[in-house]
Amino acid sequence: MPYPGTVTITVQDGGLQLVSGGTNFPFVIGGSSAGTAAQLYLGTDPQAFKAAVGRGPGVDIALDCISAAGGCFFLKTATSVAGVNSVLTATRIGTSTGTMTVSVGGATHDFAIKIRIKKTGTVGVGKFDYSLDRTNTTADAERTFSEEITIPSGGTFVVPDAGFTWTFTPGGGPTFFEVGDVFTGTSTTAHYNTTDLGTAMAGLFIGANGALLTNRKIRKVCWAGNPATAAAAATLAAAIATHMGTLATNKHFARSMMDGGSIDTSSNYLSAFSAVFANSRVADTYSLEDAISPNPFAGFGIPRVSGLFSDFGRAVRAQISENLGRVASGPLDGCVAIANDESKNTLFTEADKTLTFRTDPSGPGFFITNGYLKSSAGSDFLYWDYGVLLDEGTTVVDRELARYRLSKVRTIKIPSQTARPIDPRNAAQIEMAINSALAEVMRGPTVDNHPSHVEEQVFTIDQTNDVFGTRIVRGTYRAVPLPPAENFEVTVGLARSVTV
Amino acid sequence: MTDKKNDREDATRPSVATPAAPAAKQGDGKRTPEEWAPTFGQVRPKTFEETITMVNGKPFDFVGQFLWQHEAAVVLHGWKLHAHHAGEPFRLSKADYEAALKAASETNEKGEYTPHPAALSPHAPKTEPKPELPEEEE
Repeated sequence: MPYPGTVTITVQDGGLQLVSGGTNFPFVIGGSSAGTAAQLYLGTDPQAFKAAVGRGPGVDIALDCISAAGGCFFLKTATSVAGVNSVLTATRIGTSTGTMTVSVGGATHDFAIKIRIKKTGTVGVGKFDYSLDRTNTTADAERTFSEEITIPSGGTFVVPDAGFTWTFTPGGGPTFFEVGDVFTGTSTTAHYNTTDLGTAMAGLFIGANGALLTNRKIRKVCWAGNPATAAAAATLAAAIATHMGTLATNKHFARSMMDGGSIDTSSNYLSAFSAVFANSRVADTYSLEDAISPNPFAGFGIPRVSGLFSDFGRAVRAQISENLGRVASGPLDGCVAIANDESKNTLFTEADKTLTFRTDPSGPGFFITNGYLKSSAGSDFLYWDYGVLLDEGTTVVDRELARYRLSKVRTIKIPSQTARPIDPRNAAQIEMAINSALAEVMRGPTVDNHPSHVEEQVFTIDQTNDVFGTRIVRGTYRAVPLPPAENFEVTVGLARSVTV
Repeated sequence: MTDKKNDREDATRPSVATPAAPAAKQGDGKRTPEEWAPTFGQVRPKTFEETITMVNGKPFDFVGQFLWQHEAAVVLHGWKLHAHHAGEPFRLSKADYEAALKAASETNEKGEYTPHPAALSPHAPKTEPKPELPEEEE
């Protein structure tokens, strides 16, 4: 005991158990060209991550997440839907006889292939370059082309990082490949189906995967890739919704994004996806964009991809109360072009709750039209940020209440009743602890300089429940989110004088 | 928001161990998909750790009652739309339900799921072949 008597002050840290940036990395699920199916990877170093999982649309999204959040979980799936390479169609300048074929499958991304003959000649003599990005109707000046390459004498060219091989066949001549000739085609990368997802998710919480998630929380999930059709996307979405439920039951309160069938028609999307699927844990996008790749290679710099890339990138960077379409947050990073501008060619209504892209009169670039969740009609969970916000609060409540598990609570006697509810003084202690933690996690300033991410919030203990008889302490968490200013109505006119 | 549909769904969520569904009609051997689900292990097991967080006095977290194969089959075969339009749940045989689960688990070479014909509701959505992609906005 100190002598003479004094006041000993111990400053404690860590009592709030605040979630640090490293413990709730984004979570991306998809196929890739390397790695092991159903294995969970934690990428923090881009180079090591690429070496582990290879290439693919999901890998690019994960790399963007590593850039934004310092790390990303990647759950590799099997890909039962094989990639498809179209025939390479020649557009000839004259009477050349050369043809090109592509090996079966294996594309690491969806590609728009354009091969230009740059020097007339046969194999071993002629030269070509190629582009794999954007679309085959995009001007050449806007695309990424490789350097000029001599057509291999053997006729076979392994396209670096693309996952397939081209074969040049000279034909009868006398002109084989002529400068100005162009070969075009498309390739799609392999994709997962519901069974692949089910297998991957079944192993998420066990073994090495489970160990990797210890003391980490999944908050934002991206189901990467383009489903073949809107109908296929809907079937996939129904499975995804159950997986999101599984995450929630494992204390990972999260929201997720997927593509709703952007390579299908908007009418098919409306009838086969939007009309049949709703879930407050899933957001879907119907959008295609040309976005700068975080993992470029020869001929591939600005691929056409699902808008999921920029949607999820924005979601990862956004605050918990930030609408994904907030104009003041600036245009989407790296988005060079969009397939449809919802402000000029409006395909949907607010009721469809679909993530789309738009331009904005305030300036250049492209924006998310509004940050919707694909929730059912009338749901409170209209926006992605509403869901994320409540997930954050739920996690705090869950974590703080867990501290009291099997702790003794005092109860009080109610005259002429056998029920013994919790003592109000005991309830107040628990409420205070949880409300303090909630206030801390919701503390601003927000991007709009508000002091908190919620208007109001409160956690209360039910003081009527018979705790003695049921051994259940019931609580209620209520949060009032900050509403977005979606529309403005202004009256303007001229006057002889104005009163300020 | 005045319509608390989402909350209502949560509030009426039945026990995860005992799905609530209309009783099977006698004689034809057909049942609703929800009635067949337990037979094929398609009901989500309740975990010990599962807690209920309350929002506005209702459980906010609707995690779903069934597993992914069942839910995927529901969408693929239009069973939810059937209940909406026909005013009664779709009913099918045990073998057709099993085939529907399989259909929702497999894709063809194009990446499409092919519904099991006998399990397909006449109210399932119909789509048209997709044309070329739209051009970009520069």
